[in-house]
Amino acid sequence: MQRKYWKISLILILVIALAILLSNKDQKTNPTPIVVRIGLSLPLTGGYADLGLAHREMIKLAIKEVEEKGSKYDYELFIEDDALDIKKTQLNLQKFININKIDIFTDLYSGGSNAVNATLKGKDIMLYAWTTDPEVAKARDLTFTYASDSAETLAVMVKELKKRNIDNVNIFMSKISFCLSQEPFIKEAFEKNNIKYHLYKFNPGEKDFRMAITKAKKNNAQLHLLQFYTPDLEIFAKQLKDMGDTTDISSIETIAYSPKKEVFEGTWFAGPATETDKKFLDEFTKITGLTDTNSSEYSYHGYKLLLEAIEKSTMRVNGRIDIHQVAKNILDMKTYETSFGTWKIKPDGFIANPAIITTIKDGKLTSLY
Amino acid sequence: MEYIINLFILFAIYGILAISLNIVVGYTGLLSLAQAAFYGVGAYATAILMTKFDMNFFFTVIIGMIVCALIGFIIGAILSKFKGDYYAIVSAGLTIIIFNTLLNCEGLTNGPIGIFGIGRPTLFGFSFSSNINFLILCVLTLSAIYYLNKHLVNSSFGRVLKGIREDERLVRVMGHHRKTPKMLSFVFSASLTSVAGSLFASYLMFIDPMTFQLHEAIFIFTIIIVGGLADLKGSMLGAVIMISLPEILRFLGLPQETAAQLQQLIYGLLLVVLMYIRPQGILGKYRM
Repeated sequence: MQRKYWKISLILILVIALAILLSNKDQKTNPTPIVVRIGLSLPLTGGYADLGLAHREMIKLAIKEVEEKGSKYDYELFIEDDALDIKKTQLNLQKFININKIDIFTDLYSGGSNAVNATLKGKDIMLYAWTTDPEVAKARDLTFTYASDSAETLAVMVKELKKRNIDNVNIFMSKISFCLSQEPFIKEAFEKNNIKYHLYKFNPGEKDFRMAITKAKKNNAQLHLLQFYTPDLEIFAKQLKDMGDTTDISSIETIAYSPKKEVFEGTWFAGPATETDKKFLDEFTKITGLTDTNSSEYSYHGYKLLLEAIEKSTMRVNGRIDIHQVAKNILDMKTYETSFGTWKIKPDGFIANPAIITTIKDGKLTSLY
Repeated sequence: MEYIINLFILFAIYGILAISLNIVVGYTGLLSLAQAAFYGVGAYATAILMTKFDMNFFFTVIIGMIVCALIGFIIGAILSKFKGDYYAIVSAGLTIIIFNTLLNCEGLTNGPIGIFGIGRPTLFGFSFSSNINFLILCVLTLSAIYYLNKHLVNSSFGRVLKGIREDERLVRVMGHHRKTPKMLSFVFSASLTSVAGSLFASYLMFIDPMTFQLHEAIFIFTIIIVGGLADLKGSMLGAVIMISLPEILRFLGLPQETAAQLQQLIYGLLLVVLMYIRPQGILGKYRM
């Protein structure tokens, strides 16, 4: 009886091995001249699936546009779900490296990118990620991250607060890396500019913010900064409204990624986006059926930048693209034009998006200045 | 090959977790959901001691085990007053407390940002930095834990644990104390779980608190249910099945647009079918 079940486990392992061999065999029997292989580990299930699904479509769109113009290379995408779980990200990475033989790996969060950086140490594989933690890009020469420059965003925010004579702020912040990585920048900028702040932090998954809102009332703050990712952001705004709190709300970047922008009609905030490019929005709607791009434009431009650097590359190593030359091409660009403005490419591999003051008008992002 | 090695490392780590949990659930009959808590404490002990104090991995493992044993002793003393559903709720509470501690003690754990730069073990100049060497270490650890537990469950103490599982009153009638063995099995399980945490931290070279939530405790619990309660080989088999099943599903050639969702659907469905066919688990000797 027991032997039978041990045999089952052996068969399971053999099935994996066979599948791997077969997938390798396919690659050998169908050789393509020069293929750039990109592995994407994205949250395709779970709470952040909307983000992952949008990113998946954006890289496809970016590749489609490059290919239509006449690409030097064939692009092959390998997409796996990680539900923002490091263990799954790690297994995805191992599959991409060993079975799919990728040249570039991409993911969407600092935790995964930090683990991936450690695994990729000494390997000729580029990590190209959308993460807010500025430390990620510094870890390797072949690691690039694109996000808003927190220091610059805070400078813009402080300038706006001064202009509006706001010097007392409540900050409500979710304890997720996306929001927490901005905390030191907020503290430094506010302290330096004598802006009084009251910080309230919440564990991920916390949905009832009413107690904190009640406590924060005594601060007589002129503004609430909401540092949450959707849906907590919208839940917080609704609870504020339900409690009759009429204090102005704003945020550093987060409102830009809300899929329910109508909730924040008339709200101003420091963030990355200008008005959504009409042509892009039409294409996005055609592909996804959605009318709000959320953060997709970010990844679209990010992937376009990457593809431009690949297309400029001419050198080969063992019949494959020279990833070091691609990295050099990215650094040599120094700046990159997007509908968000001009991205600055820093020598450490951090691609910084400019910050501006944006408002929501008719449910859409509209730049104030 | 590297991919297979990585899979085997995870088989070994989750094998240790499952064996440790089986002592409490399978042999003692206590429905514990505290495994993720000790897993996290072990991982963080190694991460903090290696990155902040530059300590050798093997010392961090020992310290992690001691810390987990101490926590296990305190919590075990409280838990030994409970059984059944109440035991599950209180032990789940511990997992939630530890997760929140890891998340909120930012000065020590770096909060949600996590700790990176954790090294691989070295012993007398020999490095386990390559995955194959690390796998050997994991397999050796798993083997040691397997034989230690085998010895334990076949000892007179192991028979007392099984007695508690079957009928606590009978154990008391036979002149045995019932609370102490329950607590000791919990402490023993906690310290062994810590070893898996240490290996996991060193394997990934990065950890954050999100891994050590209640869903991870439920995942480890599922491993021993699938593999079979009160069977150490079943625990290892359960780990192999639960880790490899989603990997096999990757190669089914499902349409890219719906592959992730379909994989989860098939994964869930296979577990339902398995439990329907064999509710006591594949090698199970005891059914809850």
